[in-house]
Amino acid sequence: MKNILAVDDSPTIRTSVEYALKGLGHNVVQAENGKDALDKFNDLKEKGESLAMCIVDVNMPVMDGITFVKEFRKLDKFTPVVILTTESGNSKIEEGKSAGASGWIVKPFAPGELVKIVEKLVR
Amino acid sequence: MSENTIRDVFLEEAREILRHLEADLIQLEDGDDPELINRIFRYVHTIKGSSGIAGFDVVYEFTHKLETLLDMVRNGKIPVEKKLVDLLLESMDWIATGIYEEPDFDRMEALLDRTGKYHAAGGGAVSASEEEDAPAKNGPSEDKNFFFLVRASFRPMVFQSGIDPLIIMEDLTALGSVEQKRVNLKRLPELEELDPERCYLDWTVLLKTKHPRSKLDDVFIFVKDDNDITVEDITAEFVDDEKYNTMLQERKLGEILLKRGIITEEELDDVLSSQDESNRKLGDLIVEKGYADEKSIKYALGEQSRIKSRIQTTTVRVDTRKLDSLLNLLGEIVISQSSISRISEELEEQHGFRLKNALYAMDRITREFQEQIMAIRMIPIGPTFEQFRRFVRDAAADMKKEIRLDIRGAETELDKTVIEQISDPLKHMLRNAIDHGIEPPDEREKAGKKRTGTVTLNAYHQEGNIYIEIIDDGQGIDRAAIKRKGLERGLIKPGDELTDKQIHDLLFLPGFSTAENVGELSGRGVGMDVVKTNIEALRGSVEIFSEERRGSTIRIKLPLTLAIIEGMLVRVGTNVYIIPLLSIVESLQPARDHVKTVEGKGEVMLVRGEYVPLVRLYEHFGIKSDVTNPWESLVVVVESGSDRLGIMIDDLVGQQQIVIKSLENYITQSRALSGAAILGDGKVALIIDVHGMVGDLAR
Repeated sequence: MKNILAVDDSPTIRTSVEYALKGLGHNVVQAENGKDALDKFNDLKEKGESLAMCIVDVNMPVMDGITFVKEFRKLDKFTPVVILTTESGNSKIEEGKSAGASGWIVKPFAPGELVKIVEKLVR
Repeated sequence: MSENTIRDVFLEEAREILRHLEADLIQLEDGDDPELINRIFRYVHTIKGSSGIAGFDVVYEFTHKLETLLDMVRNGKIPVEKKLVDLLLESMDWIATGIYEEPDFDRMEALLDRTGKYHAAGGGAVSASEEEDAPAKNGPSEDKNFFFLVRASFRPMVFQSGIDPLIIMEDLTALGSVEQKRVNLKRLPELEELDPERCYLDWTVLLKTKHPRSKLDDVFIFVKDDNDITVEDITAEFVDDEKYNTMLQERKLGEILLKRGIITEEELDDVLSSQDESNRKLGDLIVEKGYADEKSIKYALGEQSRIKSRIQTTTVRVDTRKLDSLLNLLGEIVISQSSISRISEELEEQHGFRLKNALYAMDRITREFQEQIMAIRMIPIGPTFEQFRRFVRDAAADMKKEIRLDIRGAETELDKTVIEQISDPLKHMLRNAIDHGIEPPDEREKAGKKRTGTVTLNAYHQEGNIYIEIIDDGQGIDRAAIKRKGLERGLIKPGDELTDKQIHDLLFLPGFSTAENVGELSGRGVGMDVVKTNIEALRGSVEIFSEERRGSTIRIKLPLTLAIIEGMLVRVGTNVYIIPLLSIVESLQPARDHVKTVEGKGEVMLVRGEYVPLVRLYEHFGIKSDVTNPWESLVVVVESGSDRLGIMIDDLVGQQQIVIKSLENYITQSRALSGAAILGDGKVALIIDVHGMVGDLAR
């Protein structure tokens, strides 16, 4: 079982990520925004657990997704980070990638799509 | 957990957001604070994302358009005015109704109309459906293969964005089969300079797949922009054979290097122009100029020759007689080898030892050689099985029966000669199964079976043998009827205790037929005895299993190879005979009181608590032997099917590979001999056919 961080200010999105990935046998840790996510990541590290992947919304209060990716990359170079965006083909993807994101998912997504992308990045 | 829970979470979330949104929108009337607009945008954005996930499609569509409008407001393209705030407030109300009650489509149209006017004013006419283009056809196509040449060169820092190129390459290759692949090591530094956090490799893969290009693009979706990934569809080169061949013929080394990205076009031009002057080899020049290393050139040359060989076609038709003579020649080599081996025995130790070692090595090669030739001769039995479909159909119709032919193990490969010779016996046995085995439809129904009977032809390899089975789900063999017939013909005596197998074996006796009325199909004189003889000629055996009312199985067992076998050389007097190693169970010297003569059965000996017939080979063949008392001789216990036999000999000579030379019929009437072999010293040894010998004794 791998830990996957689902970061979105919308509980609907977080919950749906959790449901979609439960089927793969992953443990989804929910966070409301970038800052909360960094805290949750540190919590995991303190418990000696590893993180397999982050799924992060771009638009969030307190700390947005792009800032989170930049901050996260300072702490962890190689863990895949996927950004959630509704602006497909938009500059957000580019911005996210240059911040160090591995990929993106366009909202709304079908659970199967998410599963496919997670499988693409986590083995 | 179900989607309902997600819906519940969304309903709760939306209620909260809408409350905040309303407050913020009212605040917006008082003045446009960028932070405020941002917040409003985010609320709408969140509702859009969540509604899509939670299945509120209409709300999703609506908020999508509203979001675009707000994006323009955020970017200052649309001024904040009362009219806009009205629209936003009304839109918010509509969203609330859309989520908690029923979407009001008329009102939605009206609102979207007003939103659209703003869009136009903002200069960006965005249609909501633009993003959601119908997804490209992603499913694999039914029968068409695509060939893609994929070159994937990842940027050194790719790991730092959490991407593992290997996973991507694995995903790619999972789409089809890799026809050719290459990992370019050109960028790989010396070990001490290697930074494990960097990616140095690129891949070139020729992928054969049933998936269209879009599926390949999907694989690279996250990396295609900032890594050097090219996917080239070269299906045409493979599909259009003629065109492909011409193209290949013309494909020069330089082109290959170019195509594989080893050198650039300018570099090639440069090298070609200097080649004109110097008339030297292109590859050498390229290496000299430092455009590529020797390894890459070698690779390209390899590819060139592969391409050439593809042009020259990969198969040739060969007369099978040539294969036969090849096998015969190999046989001669094996014979010569054993004669050299004999010489090595006579040499003094040092040289003898060296010669023997060399011979062992050679032995390995000849065995391999033999396997290769045998492999060439092997063809799948499928077509032979298939040709019976028509026969079964017609025969079933003649008999007014309903029969389905089921073919299994069609890919099992057999020696060509075996397939040719097995065809007739198979047909005969199929005929039997149709005629005697499968019942008429009405009868089957009465017995609680399907009206349609099934005859199965099955072939498989097992433990160095090939098995072919003819299975029917008919009435099984009527053993009582066979017994009656056996008594009538005097083949068995009243009161004989017969096992099922012994009863079945009666069927193989010449002229035995139990058909009450001699049918159209079966009982035409050529009986199971002919089948058996044919199979035995191939050094095979045949067995019958049957269960009343459930059906019968006839199992033919055939050796994998025909011409060369492992043999045990045994001596009787001055004669050498060969017993196939596969038939031998053990060799022993019987104790004096273990040999007995039983009335009507001849001589028997006790082997591990069981009496087996004893054959004095010198008596059987009418030759002289050194010993005449079994307890002074050696006895080789052999097995054929479930029958065992003790063959009395003078001595064991040794074990070797032998090449079977067939004996013409006029040489021997005895079924106990299956052929002859030439030994290392040039002598001829006769090969004992264990199966035939058992048969001889039974008569």
